[in-house]
Amino acid sequence: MDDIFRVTFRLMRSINFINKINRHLVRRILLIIGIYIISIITSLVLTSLTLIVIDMKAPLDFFHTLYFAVLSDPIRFSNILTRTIPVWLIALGISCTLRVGFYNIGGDGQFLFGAILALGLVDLFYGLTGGVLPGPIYIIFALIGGILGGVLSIVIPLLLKVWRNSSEVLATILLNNIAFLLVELLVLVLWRDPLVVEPVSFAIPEVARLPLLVPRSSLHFGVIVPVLLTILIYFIFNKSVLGLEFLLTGVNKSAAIYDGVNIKKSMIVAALLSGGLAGLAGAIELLGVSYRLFRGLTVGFGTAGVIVAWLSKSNPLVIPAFALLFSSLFATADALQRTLQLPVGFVYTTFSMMLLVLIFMEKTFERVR
Amino acid sequence: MSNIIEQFSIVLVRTSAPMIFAAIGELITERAGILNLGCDGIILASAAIASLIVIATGNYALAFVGAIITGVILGALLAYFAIDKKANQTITGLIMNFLTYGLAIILYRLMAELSGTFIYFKVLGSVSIPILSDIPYIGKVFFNQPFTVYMALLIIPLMYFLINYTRVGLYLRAVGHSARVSDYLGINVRKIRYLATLVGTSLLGISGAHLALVEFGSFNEQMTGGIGWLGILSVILGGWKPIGVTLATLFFNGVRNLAIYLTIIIKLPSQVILMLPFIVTLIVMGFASKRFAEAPADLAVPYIKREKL
Amino acid sequence: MSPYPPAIEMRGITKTFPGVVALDNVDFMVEKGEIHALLGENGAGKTTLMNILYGFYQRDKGEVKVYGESVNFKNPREAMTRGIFMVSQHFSLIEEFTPWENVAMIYRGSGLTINKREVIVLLTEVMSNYGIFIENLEVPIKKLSVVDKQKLEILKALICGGNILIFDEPTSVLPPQEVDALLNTIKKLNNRGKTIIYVTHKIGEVYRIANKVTVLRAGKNLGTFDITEIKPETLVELILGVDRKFEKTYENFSESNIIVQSGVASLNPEEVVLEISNLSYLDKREGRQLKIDNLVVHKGEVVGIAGLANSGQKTLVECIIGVRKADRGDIKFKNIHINKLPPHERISLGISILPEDRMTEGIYPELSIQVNASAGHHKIHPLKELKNIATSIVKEFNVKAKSLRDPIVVLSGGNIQRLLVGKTLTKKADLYILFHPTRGLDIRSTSSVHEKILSMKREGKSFIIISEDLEELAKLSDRIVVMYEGHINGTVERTEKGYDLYKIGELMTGGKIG
Repeated sequence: MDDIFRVTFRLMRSINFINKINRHLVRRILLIIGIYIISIITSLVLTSLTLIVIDMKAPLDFFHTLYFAVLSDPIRFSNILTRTIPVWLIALGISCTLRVGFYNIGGDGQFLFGAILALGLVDLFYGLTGGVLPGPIYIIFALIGGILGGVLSIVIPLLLKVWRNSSEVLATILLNNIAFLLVELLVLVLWRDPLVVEPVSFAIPEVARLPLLVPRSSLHFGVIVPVLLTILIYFIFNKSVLGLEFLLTGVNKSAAIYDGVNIKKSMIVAALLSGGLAGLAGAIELLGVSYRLFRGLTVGFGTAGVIVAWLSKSNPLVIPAFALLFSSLFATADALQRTLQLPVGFVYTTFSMMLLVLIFMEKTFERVR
Repeated sequence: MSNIIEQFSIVLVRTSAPMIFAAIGELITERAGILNLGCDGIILASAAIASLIVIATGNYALAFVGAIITGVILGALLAYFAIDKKANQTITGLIMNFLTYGLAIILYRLMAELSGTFIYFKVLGSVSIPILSDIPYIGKVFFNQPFTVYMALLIIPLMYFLINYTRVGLYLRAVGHSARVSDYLGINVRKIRYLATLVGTSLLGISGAHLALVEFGSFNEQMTGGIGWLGILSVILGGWKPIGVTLATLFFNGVRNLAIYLTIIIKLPSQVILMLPFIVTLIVMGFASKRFAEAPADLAVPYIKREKL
Repeated sequence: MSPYPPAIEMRGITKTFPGVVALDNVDFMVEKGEIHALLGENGAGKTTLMNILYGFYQRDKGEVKVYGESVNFKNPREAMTRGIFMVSQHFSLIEEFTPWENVAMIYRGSGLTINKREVIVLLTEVMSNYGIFIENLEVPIKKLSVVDKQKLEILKALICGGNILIFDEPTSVLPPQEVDALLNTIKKLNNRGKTIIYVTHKIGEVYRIANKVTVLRAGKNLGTFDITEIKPETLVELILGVDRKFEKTYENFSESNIIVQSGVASLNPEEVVLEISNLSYLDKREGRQLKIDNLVVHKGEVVGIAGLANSGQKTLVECIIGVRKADRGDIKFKNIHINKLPPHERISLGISILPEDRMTEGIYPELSIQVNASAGHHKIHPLKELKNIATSIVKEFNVKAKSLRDPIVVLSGGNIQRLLVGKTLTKKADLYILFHPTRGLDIRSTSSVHEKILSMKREGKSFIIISEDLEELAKLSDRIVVMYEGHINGTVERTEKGYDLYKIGELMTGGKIG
């Protein structure tokens, strides 16, 4: 173990030495890339070691399955993309709040509230209009409902933070719990579809469903949304006053005040954006994949979103990559379960280990200012 | 009627035990200034280990010890990152939940292999305390329970005493309020924080052991029912004081157990009733710059020793 | 001469922090039973020296002896076991604990449990013994006044057998009425045999209680004197490094014609830019107080604010900006009442600030030089121009940087200072509030910053400059307001000969004019 550290240290130092003449920025980037690569390699090594314990040639099967489950087949890849959409959108939203210094752990709750409101509004509107309007109108309505749901869900933690300086971590977690219970209520009682055995809600009308993008896969047109929003968020962060003020507020609140930034406004806008995006994700999942509300609509998308946003260091262009990495890992896990009878949990553990190694490296090589 | 109340109370007290351990465990950790968001996951992992050991060896005592050790090891991991590496405690805690969830699934698979399709083992029964258990009502409710319940009942006054009346407790609180002042006065901040985290998570281990060995006699990934998170919430609602936290725990558990009965009486769906504790907590937080002012000031703030202040 | 070995003997103490020599070969000796004052400005090294004695800092070089025995304290706890206690509530009281719990933190009672009754009995005993009373021993001390907290610190020391007591600027947080009480208490403690080291920058107090005084300036010991044998004026000179002959200012100074010019032009008495009346602010817990009856800044005027550190300058600026809400008072900026406005709105009316603490309030550590230089300008200029603005600031203010995209922390302290000054001065505003604009800068940079300020003044911009560098204030200001203990102790006007720096020094250390 010690040797690995020693080698790593020497590697890092040699990189530093080479770059003493180069620009500081280059050195920094290389260091960061180095850390990421080493973390990934370390965790893959750890994974392989664990696998070997189970079965000698398991590591090879692992990588083999990884490739085939994910990359070999356009249909499979499309399916993975579908599963990437929610995490992608939520992570985009969380990157806004992360940038401003606000920890939004409520991704799941906002997701669900978005789905709930989308379903409810679409149903209402459909009923009112007798279903005669063209599909896209209902879709837009639902999407707006989704955004609204997410926004409403984050309002309370936001107010608590701004007015009482309470922990937004805890407030958003509380709302997650409330959201889950609300879904249960709707799905078991109020909106239950009596024709289906499992507890699910009624379905959204056919016209309101998002059509498929890639036939025979699950990938629907909704995938356009995160793509567009990534570009939008990129522009907000890098080319707008709002984005600049997010950054300033998050890095040094005091300095931002002295520079004339309205830090309350920045925090509020970032949080509302975050809630809205998570709610939108919920609506899209509803419209494109599940068509109904049910308890398992989110499988930890919210927490995954936080981790993806944090891994991407709030950079909107990097988020899709990590979100994709997440889904690929879980798709691999499913495939592994079928072929190797490996439990799905394996991926969770491996991934967590990688993250911990990452934190370890970051903190060890961080220079004290 | 009285029989129903009695039955209800017995269940209430028994199901409160794991929650008490979760909440008190989290309390100790947080009083020292460390935020443990991986609480729920650690309970799950401990329960998994306990189940596994029972299935593999049939030795309940060993399973119990194993659960505690699991809590300690996971606590050490969190402590290392939070204290020595000064990592962001929120993120680290969330990652630990991921880690333990995965661990639990893997262990579940192992258990399934060992015990066939059905994972089931005999649950530890109640231990009757002679004489006391003959008292009408109170005897049945409080003195005819599994031993983990007795442990929970004892740990409340024990912790109250430890935190408020011993030197160690004083140092614990001091470190949570201001690590800088404590360091200045010669207290080993690092040691106290490590100790607090490990003791706290060992209690989480007991909680997991209870769930597996006493309550369910089985294992699945949803087993905790979120009591880890409820523990974290109880600590806030209870104002970071042992008595308050206990009351908050009983409140949460009481509502959970009452939900079914309340739906009949009040004619509200159970989910709404279950939401109440969370809503109440939010309201408390709303009036609560006071409440949050009761939090250890240094909660989740890594302590960096600086010479020039 | 005392037959005992000196209570404290420190020889050849040297201590450097990165970039700064805090103490340079300092000797310091205190005899048993003395009240020995340690006098000097903030930054002179007094607190550093005491922190080394107390074990909080480790010295680079030198030797420390307590009652003749060589010691090397690794932490304050060790010093306490030798009977040395520092009364300075910032670092050694836990706000959420009650008085008795704070005592329990260091009082080695019996065993593992803490016995509340035992501690309270002890406290009560010591309180009656020495006549120092705190009324309520069972509330968290954050509810107590600063006076009570200070008393608690003293009681802690007495309970644990302290016989050498160090008081670090104890009156800086006290309202004037309490100062007498404290000084009497200290005299009483001394009568009971305690050796007292009294660290301060206030000459008046030194004369009231001390037997001896040692003066520090810029990390050097300028001498130890018997209080009966030295005059206050001499002490002022020593502290401030001001030569009595410096009553005039800079006739041999090349900018003298600018001074004359600025005294005549652009001062428009009709146009008031900032007017503060009846401003008061009190924060008992932090011991901050501010009371300003009247302060006016005209268009094209430079108002200098002199005063030793923590005399209320920062609180004043924070109240002007709105970071702190004053309890009472009226602030008018360009004839608009700004009391109720949030900070960002006041700033957008035309105020630009160079904050007091560079690193924690001035820069954005992880961000690039470019962002740091242009932050704040984004309010007026489109984002596209920010890069050019940053480039021109860097050029005009001589910031040595290889690339604007490097993080700002790669710059040296001086470069960061130039950058921040540049950023603040180039913002479009009517009032510029600057905290020590040339701190840490070399002579050339300093004079170019001064030139810039003066030329902006000629264009009609107004300035409030807070600085501990009296020469800087003398060079730039139309008048100098001297703050002391949270209020304006006096205003010194510019004469044809310049400024009477001695008068300013007197006001800074608590004296009165006339």
